[in-house]
Amino acid sequence: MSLLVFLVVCGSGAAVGLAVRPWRWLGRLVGLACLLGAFAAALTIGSATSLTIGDVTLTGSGYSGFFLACAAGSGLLLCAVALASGWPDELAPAALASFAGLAIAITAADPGVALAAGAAAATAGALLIVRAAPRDSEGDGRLAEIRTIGLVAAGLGFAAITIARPPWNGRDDGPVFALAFLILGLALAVRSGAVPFHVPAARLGSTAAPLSPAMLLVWLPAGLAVLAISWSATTFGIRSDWLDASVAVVQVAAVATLVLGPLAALVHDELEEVVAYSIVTDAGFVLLAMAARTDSAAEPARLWLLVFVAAKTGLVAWAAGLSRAFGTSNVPRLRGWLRRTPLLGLALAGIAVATLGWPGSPVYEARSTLIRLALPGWLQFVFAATIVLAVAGYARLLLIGLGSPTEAICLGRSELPRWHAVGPEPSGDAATTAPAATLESGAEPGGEPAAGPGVGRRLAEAWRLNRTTGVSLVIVAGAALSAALALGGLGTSNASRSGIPLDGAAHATPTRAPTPSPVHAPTPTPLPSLAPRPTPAPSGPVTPSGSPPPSASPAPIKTSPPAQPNTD
Amino acid sequence: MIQPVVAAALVAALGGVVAIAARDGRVVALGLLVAMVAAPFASAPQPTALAVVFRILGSLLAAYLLLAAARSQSIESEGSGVGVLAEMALGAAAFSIGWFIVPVQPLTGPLAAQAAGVSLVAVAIVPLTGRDVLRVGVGVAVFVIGGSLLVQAWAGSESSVGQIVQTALLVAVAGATSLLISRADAPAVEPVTAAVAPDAAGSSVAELAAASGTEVPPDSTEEAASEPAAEAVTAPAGRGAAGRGRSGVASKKVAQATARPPATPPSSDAPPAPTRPSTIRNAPYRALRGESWLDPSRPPGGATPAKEAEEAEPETPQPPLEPFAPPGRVRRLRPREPRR
Repeated sequence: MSLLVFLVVCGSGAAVGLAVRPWRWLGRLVGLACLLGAFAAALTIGSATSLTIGDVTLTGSGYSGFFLACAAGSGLLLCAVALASGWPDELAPAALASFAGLAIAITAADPGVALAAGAAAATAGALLIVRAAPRDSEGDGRLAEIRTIGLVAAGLGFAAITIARPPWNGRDDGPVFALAFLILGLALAVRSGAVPFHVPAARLGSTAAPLSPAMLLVWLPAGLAVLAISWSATTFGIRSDWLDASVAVVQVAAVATLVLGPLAALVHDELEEVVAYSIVTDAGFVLLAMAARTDSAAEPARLWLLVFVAAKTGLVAWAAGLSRAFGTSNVPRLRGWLRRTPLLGLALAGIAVATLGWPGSPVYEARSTLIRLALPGWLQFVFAATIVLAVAGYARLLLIGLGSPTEAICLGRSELPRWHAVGPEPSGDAATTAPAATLESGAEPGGEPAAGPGVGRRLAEAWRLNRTTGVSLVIVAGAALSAALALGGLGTSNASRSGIPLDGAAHATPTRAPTPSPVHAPTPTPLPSLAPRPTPAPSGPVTPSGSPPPSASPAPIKTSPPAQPNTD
Repeated sequence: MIQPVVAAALVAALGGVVAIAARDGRVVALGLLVAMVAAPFASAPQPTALAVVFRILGSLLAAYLLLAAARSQSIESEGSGVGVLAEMALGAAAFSIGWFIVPVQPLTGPLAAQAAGVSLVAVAIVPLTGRDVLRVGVGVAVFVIGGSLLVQAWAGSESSVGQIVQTALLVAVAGATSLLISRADAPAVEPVTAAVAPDAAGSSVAELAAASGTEVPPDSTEEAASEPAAEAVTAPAGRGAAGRGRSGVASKKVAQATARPPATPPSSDAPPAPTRPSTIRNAPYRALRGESWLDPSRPPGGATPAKEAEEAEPETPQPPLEPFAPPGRVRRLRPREPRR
């Protein structure tokens, strides 16, 4: 029932939110209310949740509920920040539409339904592409987005074909899986903005709506990563040179992303680019999880994805809050920001802790496990390199914040509480000489301000004056939540041990050898190359699902999630 | 007697080729509609009535979305680079290849579905590499249709819910394409510089925001008033380049206003030069001005530093523009008392 509520709230919220865009306050109200409802509904999704639609069953699990709750909560936090820093009309409807698609994708037992729903969810990102860069055809955000949509649809479509395991005509079906692995890995890399597909991600600031990196680089890639990691189980038993080559390509992209991403974040001076490269860097671990090709990588990858969604959404919100407070996103011009907005500094520190962790913490172990499983021994230094470079990136921002304030910082808004409209704060000579004007709605130029403001007007004025403090508090709360998730709190560790229904279909081994055709009867029946899975099978009642029977309508692959007992 | 499955496969392949090769947006939408409707009937067993109804409704919606976006923006597809006949020949050749190859044995679905799927995938590959958003979007849709036909041929007919989700995916792709092409802009947009007096600056801010469906917070207008008397308000003149929705109307108004002679003589008592660059913090408004969503002082691409605008502004006062809206609709700005 809770799954149905989630789908209805997200679907209707997206439709209504788009319809009421001309009425801005109504659109905001609908977006916030639906995100709140979706968050509440997702919290109740568990392993006992089930919804049957026709011949397909949507089965909840601890992880799917947690993931959806994390995504909806992140969307809610971001919309709360957007209320003060500039509300993009399309953000809430796009987020709700993508959450609805992802909910079907990670709960559907039929692989075809799950992967098609994932592809449909990825199309919602087009809502956030505002415009192209007219003078730079290479940076056309529209073209990049539609190509990404096509690549994701192709990757997931091919994955749906391979997971159905048709009886391929040949002695070795490795090339088919290798091609599917490569396309799906590329789709995930492009959607995540991994190196060398990072240019559209870095230019989102000029081609997409405000705060859109949270959806285009965090929520959608994370949802697709859950599907891709589950699908990769189909390749565990395949030994093929073609597949090894495909895995090597994904590994190269992951390593390049992990090393070059934080370097790019260090050398760029625009906050939006720093944030984008920071997100892109952490998406490299998702590629590593896919390239690991072992069940041991699933649990740390799922834990990492939860932290990734919460922490990186917090980082986007932090950047928006900081830019809004001081009117600039240029890092050198933001020198001294920490002196005026210490709460934002606290939030940045919390985000850094949530992203990196420390030795022994769940998120740290998850990151190290992914690198250990996915990369050869001589590349294990990448883990230390990512830690050092990421710390350097966060330290750079914090150190710049400790410097002497620039003019933009002096003229900006601090987090000090203000209760009266007294004009710019006394913060240097520039403030006293700055031209100032105030807005009086309905008053003629030079007229007297309205007399006798009421309580509501005073409250509204107080909120307007202290908006920076409110935004900072919301961001701090989000950073604290992400740190709690990173430390394994709130049931994150338990949820990460369970999977999604697609795991069962991906782990299923063919039960029927391909039937030789009468024409090729003299040749021996090719043995299926899908060897039994070396890792333990999920404990759930996995239905064997080989190739569907040649006649009659084949039943969809229905499996149950590989639930594991909670130990916490 | 041709079998219905084969006929449906042929019609689907033909519709896809027409959608790929056509130049007129209406023909593109029609071809896509035909391909989307015919594709489910190329499977065996035939889809359920619910799935068929959903597919037809979804196809109509997808075609309408494409048609509406293409018509409203007067966009025509570049069409095929090799011509319609060549595209049809390519589709026919791929159909023949798909009819004779045996990648899966035994084939679970009809052979015609495999042939049509191979044909649609083949003709959709080339548009995916192009730079026309409409063609790329249509290519993605045709590719998805071809992929679904291959799934039907290799893995059997999909469930009803699976077909409904496939339809939703196609509608989503068409919707995304229509959204993206409706935000198209002219290929070479030159900035239009309009000189705005202090009062008119606030007016133009409010009017631009109203025309684009965005909101200007009080502090934005407040800071706009602190800008110089003859601030250069740069707005893209291309259609839709200024943002989304009705923002194209706003940029048109800017262009018209700059073309008109000034209604009032230039003011001699202009406010003093600014001491800081504009810090308008409303992101949609910055989008109207072609600026970054985080840094209002940086135009997209980072080509022009804010200092250049600061240096150039006070030297050449321009006559003010007449406001875009009647004075009653304009929120006025009043200079604030200096803080003691």
